[in-house]
Amino acid sequence: MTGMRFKLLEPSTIDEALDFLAAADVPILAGGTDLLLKIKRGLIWPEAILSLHRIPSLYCLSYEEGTGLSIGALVTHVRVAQSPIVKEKFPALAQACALVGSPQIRNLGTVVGNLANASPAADSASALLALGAQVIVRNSSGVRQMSLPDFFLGPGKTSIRHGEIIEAITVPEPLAGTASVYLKLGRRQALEISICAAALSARRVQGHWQDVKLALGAVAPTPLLLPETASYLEGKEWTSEMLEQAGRSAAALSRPLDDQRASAEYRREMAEVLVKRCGLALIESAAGRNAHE
Amino acid sequence: MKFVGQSISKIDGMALVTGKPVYTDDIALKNALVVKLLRSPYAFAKIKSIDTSKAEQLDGVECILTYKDVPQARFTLAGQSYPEPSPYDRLILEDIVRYVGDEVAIIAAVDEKTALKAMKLIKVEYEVFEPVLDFEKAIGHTSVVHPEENLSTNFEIGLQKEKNIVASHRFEVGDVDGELAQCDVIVEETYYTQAQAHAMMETYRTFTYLDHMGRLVAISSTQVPFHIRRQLARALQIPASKIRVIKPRIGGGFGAKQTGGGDVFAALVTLKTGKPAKIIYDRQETFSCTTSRHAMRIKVKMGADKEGLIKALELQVLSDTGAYGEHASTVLGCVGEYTLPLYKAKARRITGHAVYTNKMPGGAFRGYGATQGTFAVESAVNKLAEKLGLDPAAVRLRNIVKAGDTLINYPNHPLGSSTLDQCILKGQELIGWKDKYPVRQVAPNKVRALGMAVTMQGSGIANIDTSTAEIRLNDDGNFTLLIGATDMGTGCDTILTQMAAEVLETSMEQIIVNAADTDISPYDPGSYASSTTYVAGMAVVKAAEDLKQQILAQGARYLEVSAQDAELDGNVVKTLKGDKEISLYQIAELSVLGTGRQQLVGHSTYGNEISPPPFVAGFAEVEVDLETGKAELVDYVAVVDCGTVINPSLARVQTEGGIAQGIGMALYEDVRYDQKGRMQTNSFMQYKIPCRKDIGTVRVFFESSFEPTGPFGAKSIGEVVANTPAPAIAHAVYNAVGVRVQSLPITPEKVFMGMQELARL
Repeated sequence: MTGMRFKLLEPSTIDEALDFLAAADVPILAGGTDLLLKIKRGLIWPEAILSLHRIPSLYCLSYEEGTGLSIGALVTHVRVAQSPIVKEKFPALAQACALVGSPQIRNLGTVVGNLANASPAADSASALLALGAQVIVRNSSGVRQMSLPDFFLGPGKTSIRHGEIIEAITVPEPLAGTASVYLKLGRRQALEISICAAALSARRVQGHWQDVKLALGAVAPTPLLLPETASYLEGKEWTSEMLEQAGRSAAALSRPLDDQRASAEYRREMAEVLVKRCGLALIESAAGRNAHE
Repeated sequence: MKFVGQSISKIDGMALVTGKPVYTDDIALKNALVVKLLRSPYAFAKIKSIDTSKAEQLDGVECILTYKDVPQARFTLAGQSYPEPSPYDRLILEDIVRYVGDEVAIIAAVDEKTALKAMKLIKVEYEVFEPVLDFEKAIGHTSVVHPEENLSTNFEIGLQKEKNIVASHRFEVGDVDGELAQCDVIVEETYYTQAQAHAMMETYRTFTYLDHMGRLVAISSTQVPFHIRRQLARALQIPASKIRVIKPRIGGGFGAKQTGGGDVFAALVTLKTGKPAKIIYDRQETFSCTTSRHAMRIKVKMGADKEGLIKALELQVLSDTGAYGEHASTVLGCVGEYTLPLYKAKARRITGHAVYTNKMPGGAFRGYGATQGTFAVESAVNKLAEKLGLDPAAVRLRNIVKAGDTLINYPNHPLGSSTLDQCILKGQELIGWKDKYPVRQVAPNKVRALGMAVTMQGSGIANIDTSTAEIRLNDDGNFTLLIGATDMGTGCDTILTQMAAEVLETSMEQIIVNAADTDISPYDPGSYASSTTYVAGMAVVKAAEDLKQQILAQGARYLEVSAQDAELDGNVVKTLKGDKEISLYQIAELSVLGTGRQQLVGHSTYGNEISPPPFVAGFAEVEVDLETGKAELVDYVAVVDCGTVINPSLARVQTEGGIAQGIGMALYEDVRYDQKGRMQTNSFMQYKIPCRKDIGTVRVFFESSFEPTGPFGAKSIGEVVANTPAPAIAHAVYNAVGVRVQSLPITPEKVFMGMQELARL
């Protein structure tokens, strides 16, 4: 499309980027897979765009034992999906990132950008919710940190304020015995926005599941953490009846809409199925691990 | 044979895949005015006032045209042969807008940005009417979509405009009601097929300019250059002799480009300004402001005896043609045309209406009614087989028309070729019918099941599609093949050259193929209705044979023997005795040098009173998730009878592409509107065509037959391949979970809800 003309601002440090932002409210470019679409569709007509591409620190995907994972603002889905340490320690996140869009989108799009876009169906969002991720935000007065449930405000809305940049996402080191899983239901096998998605993280201690965290995607105005359902599952040895009950609880707590992808009713039904399946997958992975050991 | 039957690479393939400048926008002049269209935000409204003054004052704006500036002759955008069967129900611009996206004003400016800016400055006041959105409520609706007096048709198509009926159709053989009364088993069901988007890669685009004689030239991404010429002449009220339409390379059509796109708008700008202009529809316009497959409701009644002999088949059709009647009557007719002949029931009947609604028009789309009809009829056959406790393949083998039988369409011509029975048997074997039919559990929550369907189409339109080919021997001993058939990515330039090369015993490289340009090409209706291989192919073969005879005669004359004593052997004409020969180059040169000579030109105009059907047997294996209702296609086998396969690799990709499109219709694609008639699925974000991962394994096989009336025994392949996936996949899903989804597409939600309902019963 012609007419897509804008000034490209390319700071080489975060401080420089913050200076640009202080001067003008310009959109931030990381992977561009959402931003450029908005421009192409004529939803926004920015005069300038702030690209983060010349800030080397933002490309950092790092893991420190005992602390956890840090995903810089320019880390793409494909890097996360293919990272051996993410696959080992944070499988739900690796699975979610591997299901985003298509290979082209995963090569360009970033995990931070996926969160910043605040789609209730964003694949990485529910996985990160279930993994207890934190958002690290830089502004002129320093750094502020927030948990994901505080970050998401509504469709396309986050608590990021004007003049702020998300520098990274951190995911805490999982305690020993933690397993996690992300499952998504869509119509197509790729390039698909979820009808419903679920992520579950928990650790197995002497046959019981602890530190349970459950999140759903595409069933509410934001990706949804479900502490009530998680606490129902907390400290128990899961049975399929229990997981079905958890599924019903999650479905009851979800607030889906009817849209062209699916009805609210179907979404609730699928939330039930996916929560149960996540639980079964964790049981299976624990069994697999035991057999392996 | 040296060329026919060989997988020769497309002659333009490398240029296309390496991005050579061969498409309309590559050719358009850089200084062409950019044409944009202001479109209606309302589904049905009258323009009370329109103020273009501010827009006109904008720098770089060349002209802005409204309904006040256009000729007042109603026309149709449907590109069809003489006499045009679609109603003349549209003006280039009108003070009534009939769907969201209908054109309100034409803006021409020096660049796109200026044109878009000007568009925002146009002020329009509308008086909004109650739109007709539900096609099942169109007949007798208080709103009449086309009340205008001067709407006309070339012949009776059953138009009742005050009732929103565009076309009515009725065809009957035998006594349907009498036969049904005597049947042991009757299946009576209602099926819905959705509107489907063509989703071709290249959107609509046209570049127009005036040539050195002031004639209008339109370079257009079209399947129908000659029809576009006629359409422009009527819409613009200028003589056809003042118009030239050129078709460059086309990035896909699937029938979409059998209907005009932006041609009239760019052409009007060029006529008004005298300047070159181009219009390029963006993807959103292509989705929401052109045409789609006609959505239909088809009621089927099918009766049989206990042994599974089908005795009566009745179809009642309601077709949603949207705001304009492009292809309304013909698509409606083709629902029966390509389904009723397939089974030898004693009595067969189709009745139906196509209705106007305030939505995007329906149009031509690969399959052209046969796809819709096949979903309904094949679904009914599968249900009938189940009711009778018979194998659905056996029911088909019992009832299908066979070579030598009489087709109801052509009572005086026995069917020349069919291997459909072998296609069915081979397909069963390849899909593993014996072991896998109907269903097996493969995991606690997963079942796999099989389904099948068969189909036929035509090869061109009998008595209407008539193609002309010319082939001349050039001064240098090469040949120029002139055709009007329109390669839109299908590869017809290649296969028609293969046929000519075969007849002339020359090489592919020695033939220059030229198509299509209305100033140069002989008349051809264009590439649609599965006509090109069969109809244009026959014209090419006959023209080449004509030229071959002339070369032989000319050569013999130079050799001073009679033509009977000479033969054409590659690049020489020699005597049968082998004592004298003359090269093609010498013949060519001698034919154009000096006095009393005549350049050799072979010529043929070919049409047929029959349209021999190709056949496909399609078999689907799906895996259904019992907890979510999601069906995945695991395997698809298509066994095709297209007569002689002229180019196996091109026939294979045609088949694979058609099946992919059919899979899209079965499982994913759905053109949807909101309550105000605004299309919700106007981008590839919302409109989901299957991606590579959704196609699973598609396996294509050919069971060749020999069609005695076809070129080298060939029949068509372009459309027939799109028809089987929807009914075969629906059948497989039913066998998997017991849910019959009769309204396409088969979404996980529909399957899941169906399973819930079964569980409640």
